[in-house]
Amino acid sequence: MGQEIGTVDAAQLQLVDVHELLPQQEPFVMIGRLVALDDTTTVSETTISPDNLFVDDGCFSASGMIENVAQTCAARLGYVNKYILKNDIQLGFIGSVKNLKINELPKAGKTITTTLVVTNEIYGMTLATAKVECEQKVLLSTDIKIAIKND
Amino acid sequence: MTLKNSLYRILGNETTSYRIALVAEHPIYQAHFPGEPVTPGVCIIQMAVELLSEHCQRGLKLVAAKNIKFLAVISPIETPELTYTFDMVQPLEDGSIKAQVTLTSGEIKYASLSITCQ
Repeated sequence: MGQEIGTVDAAQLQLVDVHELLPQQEPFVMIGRLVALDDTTTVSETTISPDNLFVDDGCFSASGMIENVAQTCAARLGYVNKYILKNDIQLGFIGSVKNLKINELPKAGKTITTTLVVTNEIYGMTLATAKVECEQKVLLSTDIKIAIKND
Repeated sequence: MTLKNSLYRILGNETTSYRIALVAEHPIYQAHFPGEPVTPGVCIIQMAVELLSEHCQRGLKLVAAKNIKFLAVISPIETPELTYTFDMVQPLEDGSIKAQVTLTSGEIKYASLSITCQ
């Protein structure tokens, strides 16, 4: 696995502004905050704003949900870069999306919880399995690969 | 948001392919990423779903994907024109549609998508 993280204190984590961890800027920021981070697992919480770019007909779209998963991973990488390795934030790209299943789209105003478990980190690639939940229901599950830009 | 006529325009189509032009001035490109515009992977997926809707002449939403691979970064400035090709479109018994899609520009393949829409 990649960099050792241990378990980041949740209260401390929630004070971090995700904008500092992501290369994306508004209006393309699709996560609210990180709520848990340890060696394998990252959890984010996001309240869907009605004026979010990816809200269609009152629901957060598939694009928004997949980007939310990708940015949960990007925020993890950003946290490690900024607070552990003391490096700059790097650009990351989705390399692949596999075994994606979308059961339901959340309504604007709802808060979704995204849990991402890293299964492998190798050569600047992070492989993870993720699910997005709302009110005890799994809305989306997927495997995702994030690639970090080589300078 | 619908990306058609916003992030991209349709230039033309053949029986199983659509030629599109990316709109580099779109606000998404200022945010993803500042000073380094790159077409977001999720927008590449959404454009495939929107074009599949055009192709099937019905509104479709993404419900599943077996495998979506992004092979190269797409800058709207360096690669303004792209072609989506439907290699396979198969209606399923439950009313959903399974499709195999490739995204190319010239000889270069940028993405392949195996998706199911409803």
